[in-house]
Amino acid sequence: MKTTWHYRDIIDLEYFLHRDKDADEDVLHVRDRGILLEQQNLPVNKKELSRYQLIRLWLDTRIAHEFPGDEQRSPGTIFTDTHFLAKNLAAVIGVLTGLFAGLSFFAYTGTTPVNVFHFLLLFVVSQLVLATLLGCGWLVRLVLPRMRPPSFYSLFFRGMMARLASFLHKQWLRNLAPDKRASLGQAFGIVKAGSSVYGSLFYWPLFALAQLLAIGFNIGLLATIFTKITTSDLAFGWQSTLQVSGEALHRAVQLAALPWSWLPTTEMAGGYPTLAEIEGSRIILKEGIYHLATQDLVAWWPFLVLCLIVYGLLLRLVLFALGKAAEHRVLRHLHLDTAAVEALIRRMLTPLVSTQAPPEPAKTKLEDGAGGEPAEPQSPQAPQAAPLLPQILLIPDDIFGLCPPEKLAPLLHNRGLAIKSVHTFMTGYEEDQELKTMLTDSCQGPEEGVFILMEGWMPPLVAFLTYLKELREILPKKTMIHLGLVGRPVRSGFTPLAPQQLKIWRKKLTALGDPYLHTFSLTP
Amino acid sequence: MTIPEFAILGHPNEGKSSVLSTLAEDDSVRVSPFPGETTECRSFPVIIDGREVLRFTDTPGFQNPARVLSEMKRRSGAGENPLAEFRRFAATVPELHDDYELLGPLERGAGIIYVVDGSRPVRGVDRAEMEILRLTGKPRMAIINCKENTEEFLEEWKMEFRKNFNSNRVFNAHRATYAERILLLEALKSIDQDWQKPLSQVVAAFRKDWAARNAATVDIIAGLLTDCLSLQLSENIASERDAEKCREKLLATYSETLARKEKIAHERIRGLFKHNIFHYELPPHSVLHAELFDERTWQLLGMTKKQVMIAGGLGGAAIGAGLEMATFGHGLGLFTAVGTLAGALGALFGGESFSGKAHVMGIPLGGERVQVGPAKSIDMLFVLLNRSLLYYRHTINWAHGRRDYNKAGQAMLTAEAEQGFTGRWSAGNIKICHDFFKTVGSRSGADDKEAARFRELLTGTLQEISESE
Repeated sequence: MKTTWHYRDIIDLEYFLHRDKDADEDVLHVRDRGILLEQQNLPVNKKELSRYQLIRLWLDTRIAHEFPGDEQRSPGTIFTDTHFLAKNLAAVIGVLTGLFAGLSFFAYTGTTPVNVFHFLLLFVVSQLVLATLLGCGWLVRLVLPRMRPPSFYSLFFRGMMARLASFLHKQWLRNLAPDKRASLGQAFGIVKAGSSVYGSLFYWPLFALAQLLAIGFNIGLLATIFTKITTSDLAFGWQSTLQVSGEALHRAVQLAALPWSWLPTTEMAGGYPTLAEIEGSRIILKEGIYHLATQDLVAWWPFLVLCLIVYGLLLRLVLFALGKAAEHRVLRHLHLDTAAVEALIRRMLTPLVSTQAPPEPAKTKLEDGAGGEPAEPQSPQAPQAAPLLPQILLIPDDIFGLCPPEKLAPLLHNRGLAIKSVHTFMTGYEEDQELKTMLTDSCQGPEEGVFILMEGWMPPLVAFLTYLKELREILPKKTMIHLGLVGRPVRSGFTPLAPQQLKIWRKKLTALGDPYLHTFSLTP
Repeated sequence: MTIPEFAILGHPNEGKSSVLSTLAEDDSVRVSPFPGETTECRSFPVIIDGREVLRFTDTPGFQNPARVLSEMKRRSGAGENPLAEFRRFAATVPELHDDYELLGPLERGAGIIYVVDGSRPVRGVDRAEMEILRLTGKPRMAIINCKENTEEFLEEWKMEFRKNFNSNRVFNAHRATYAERILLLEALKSIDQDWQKPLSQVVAAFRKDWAARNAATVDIIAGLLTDCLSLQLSENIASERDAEKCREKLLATYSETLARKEKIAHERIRGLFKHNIFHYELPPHSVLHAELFDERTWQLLGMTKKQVMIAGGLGGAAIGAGLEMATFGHGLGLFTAVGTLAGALGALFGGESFSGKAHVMGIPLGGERVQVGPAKSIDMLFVLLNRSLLYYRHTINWAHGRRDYNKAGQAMLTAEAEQGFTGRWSAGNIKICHDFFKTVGSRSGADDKEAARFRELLTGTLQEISESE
């Protein structure tokens, strides 16, 4: 089954993931596992779910839960609605602009014919220039991706989108809790700023808007021209102070008309004026126009209209189609594999295991949808258990002795991770630098990751943040870095990490902007 | 001569600001819940008679200890100054900014005060920091500030300090700010002989300054007591029927006036102790929040049973007889009987006093005039005095940016308040109070001897509170 993401899904996903950011890992585990179990208990659905289906299921459940009814619209829906409205608006504005531009241009009173050069400059060359600029912009980004020049259209449309969005959800936002508002801000933030995860994804809606505006403009303009041509008599002429010969102009016109030269035309060869007609429509002001033949003066219009259709309308239609295709391509190839999504899938696939005497609070919730039969704990051999991802472990020198691999293994196992190798970390600056090189060599494949154990009760130092940044630069692009935080060492292990401390670490790490960095408290 | 400078250095979030605010008596020291927000140095000069004699400098926390150590070691060849060499290198490296900045004062020749949190274990980063400080070759002292109430790791820290520091001491956040400051300054003398003279000068100046502030506090408290104890309100009435109503009104005004006077006095005390940030919010369960006429205040801040008897005895008979006078036991009932505001005042002015004589206050005599006050019971003096002393104690302790004071300090204070400061006073001191009370009550105002003895007693008490733990 070919499945595709939509913008709505991505924005909702970002919104919900942001909402979960500071929540307790156990609570999330119970909830997300519950979502999957509830689904699997339905008689129709016994087969294994794909990654896409898992996320989709989770997303649908969360939306149904948080935005019940038609009144409450999820951020994704708001985005889609806004985009829809913006598209309509762009088209309407385009048509209107085209109409007005045409009406004010074709004001022929019988003394001065419509200047062919002016028309071409204003309506055809200008559009071609804009299209060329767009092409140059692409080229620059293609050649110099590191420079990150701002997108050509985002400059124009960002303000419009933002205003529309705020207009649309103003009513709704007012009743929203501050944390939801922050999550919404985060979800829309990715539209505005883009991110390393989504790449050019959120460029295409803007691109489509621009093309719609241009298409509308061309249609409006063409409509005016046809109206004018049918309902009033227009004369077209050309003039120049430079002594341009009729032949030269004829050659240029011939060249411009190449795209439609195959058209079967009866009156004019190839849909452009003949040399005689060009000569006959040359205007010399001191001579006036009354001596010029009407035949020559009207000969220009098919050429102008075809110019507009081909270089204006058709070009934009092609671009629009290209944009749509690119959008679909990006959406189809979207790999939702950030740390947050990985954690979500792991939570859904990892059985809830409890060895404590009192039943965990989640039990009742899970049984709600289980139709009386207790759904868990599932055996670890359940078909949906996620495969363990091998990790290279870095453990600080200070607590290395306190963390034997056999003690860590079950903790990591709970999070779907396995130990590949263990190394001492933070013994000294030089040693850590060497460790970095070792990691580059031994870290292979995207499923392998680096797991760093840190004492979360100590404040995060710039030294460590710098180290993470450097590590990211040398590791394969999408390698996961797991950062497990522990509390203070005590005789039996480590104390739980205080929420405030986790918050401090998260705040510092967020500043790194690394989507493949996953931070959590190892000792809940 | 260059001005001696001490740089307060340490790992982020170890209580540098607590130590600094204690030393500099400045509560405007930056305090942030997120570690590592301080990124620039900030100097706190000690100015005596317009001349800067000493300077403390707050610094950012170490952010790259291991790297700084490695870089400095690499530059510590013969004849080289690793500190200056390192700073020249770090000036251009953005991620080393904090470390570059914090080593700035040391390059200028500042002494080192290294602050650590002694309630946590020693880590590799700490060892690197200590090693860096050793490499600078500057005189250095370590201060252990236990943020949490555990001494488990204290020995471990001290072991490390012995290797790297000229001296070390434990910073006591529970000791009064003033006393802790003097002790810290005295300790600083030992790390370099050259600094003994200016430090002695500073200590002497601090002592004098503190004594002057205490004297001003005594003035304020004595003034408050004189004012309140001699406060008298009266009003003419038309008929007997109005008497009760009028009396109630006067009582209300009376208590409002007392509360207002007390508030003004406390504000003035606060003004003496240089508060910048902390707009005083008293702990909610402290007796300071209780109204002056609240039953709880009386119970907590009144006197001990023995003292009540002594005070009562002084009113009537000889001092020596005090302890045996069981007949005065009923006087204790006063404290528990007062339930309402009117009841409290009624007990004060209308009820029986300790000497057993009935004092009729505020009862219309001749049906023409109602009068409230002046106070006839010495309890009023003790309540006001204890409250003022408690306020003083809060002010001098809480004043200066101790983030950690709130938790530990409050419990301590509440426990102490149960007794009141005068609860420990000897019979002799109670007599001084009694004499002062009598002088105020008699409105003679001429008896300076009693007032002087009372002020002397207050001065001693304030000093004691200043140095208490």
